[in-house]
Amino acid sequence: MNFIENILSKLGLNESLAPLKYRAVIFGESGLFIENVKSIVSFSNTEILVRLKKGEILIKGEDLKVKNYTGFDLYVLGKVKEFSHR
Amino acid sequence: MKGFFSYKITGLNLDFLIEKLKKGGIPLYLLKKEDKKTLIITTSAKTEKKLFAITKGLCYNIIKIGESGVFNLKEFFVKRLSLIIFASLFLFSTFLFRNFVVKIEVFGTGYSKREEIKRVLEENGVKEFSFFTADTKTIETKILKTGDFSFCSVEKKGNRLKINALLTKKEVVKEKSYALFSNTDGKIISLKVFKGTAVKKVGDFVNKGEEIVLGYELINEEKKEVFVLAEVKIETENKAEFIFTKEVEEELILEILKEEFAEDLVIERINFTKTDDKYEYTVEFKSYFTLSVGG
Repeated sequence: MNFIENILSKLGLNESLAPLKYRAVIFGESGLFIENVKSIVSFSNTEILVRLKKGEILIKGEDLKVKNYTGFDLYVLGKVKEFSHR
Repeated sequence: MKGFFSYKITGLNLDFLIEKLKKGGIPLYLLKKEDKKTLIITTSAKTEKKLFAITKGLCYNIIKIGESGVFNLKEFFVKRLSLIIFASLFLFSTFLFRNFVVKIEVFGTGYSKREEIKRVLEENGVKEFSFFTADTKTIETKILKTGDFSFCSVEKKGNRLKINALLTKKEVVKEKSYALFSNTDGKIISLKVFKGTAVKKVGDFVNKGEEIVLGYELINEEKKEVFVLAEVKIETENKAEFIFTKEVEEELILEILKEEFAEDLVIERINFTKTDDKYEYTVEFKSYFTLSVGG
C-alpha cells in the first residue's frame, strides 16, 4: 500500500466505489503532487493552471517550477500559496 | 549510460509546446519559465531526436544549455577524481602488499623452538615486515631438514605467516623419565602410579635418590619399558633451633620454617628456654614434599 492509498484507507474512501477526480498532496511550502492531470493549460513562475478530466486546478505561489511531468502525474516545486479546484 | 539534456526554448505559447512534447511521449523534468517567452526544460538524452522532430516546423528556438547525469562520462570522472585516485591507490597497495609479511606465528609443540624456525626463515629471506618471496614448500622442507621437527606446514594467511610445527618424539619426551626418585629422606604417605611399577609402598621409608617407581610394566609376564607417570608425597621429620633476643610468636617461627624448608609443614613441638638475654627455641616439625613425573 503506497502513501496515498494509505491515507485513503484511513479516511475510509473507496476509489473503486466512487472514483476521485484527482489526487493531490501538498508538501507545505515546498511543493505538491497531483495525479490524474490531463494537461497544463498555463504555466508561469507564480501560477500553474492544470486541466483535469473534469475541472481545473489553479496553483499560485512563488518560484514555481515543474519538477516532473510524465503520464498523468505532475510534480511541482516551489512555494505553494494557493491551491484551488474549480 | 543515462543522461539528461537541458534546453532553453524561446517562443510564444510555451504551454502549448509543453503539452505537445508530453503527448509526444517526452518525459519532462525541471520545467521553469524564465519569462513569458522563455522556458527551460530537461529531458532524457534518448529523446533528443524525438524532441527536435516534434518541434520541427514550429516557431521555437531551442538551445541545448547543459548535460547532466552519468551521460557525461568526462564530467563524471572529473567530479570523482579524488575518490577514483583513492580507490586506485587502495587497490594498488592491496595488490602490492599482498605478499608482505607483518607477523610470523609458530604453533604446535615446535613453538619451543620458534627461534630455530625463524633462523631458517631468515636464511630464506623471510622475516617480519618484509616481502614474502619464498616458496612455502621449500621452507617446509628446510625446517624439516633441521631434524628437530617431525611435521611442518607453512601457510600464508593475509599478511601473516602461520607455521605449524611438531617436534620429533625424542624432543617431546625430553622431560619425561623412566623412574621416579626420592629427593629427600622420609616416609611415603601417599603414592599414585598411573604408569610404571612402584618399588615402594605407602608407609615405607626412603632415602634421598632412592627409586620409588620404575619405568616398566609387566604385560603377559613380559617387561615393557614405559615412561613413568606417578605422584608421591613424602613426609620428613625435622628439628630446628632458633635463638632470638626477645620472645616471639609461634606464627613467626612457622613463617621462617616455611621459607627455609617447605611450604607444606606442621609444627609438632616447640621447646623454649630462656637464658640471660636470649630466647632459645627448639622446634620439631614435619614437612611434606610432593614429587611427580610425567603428565
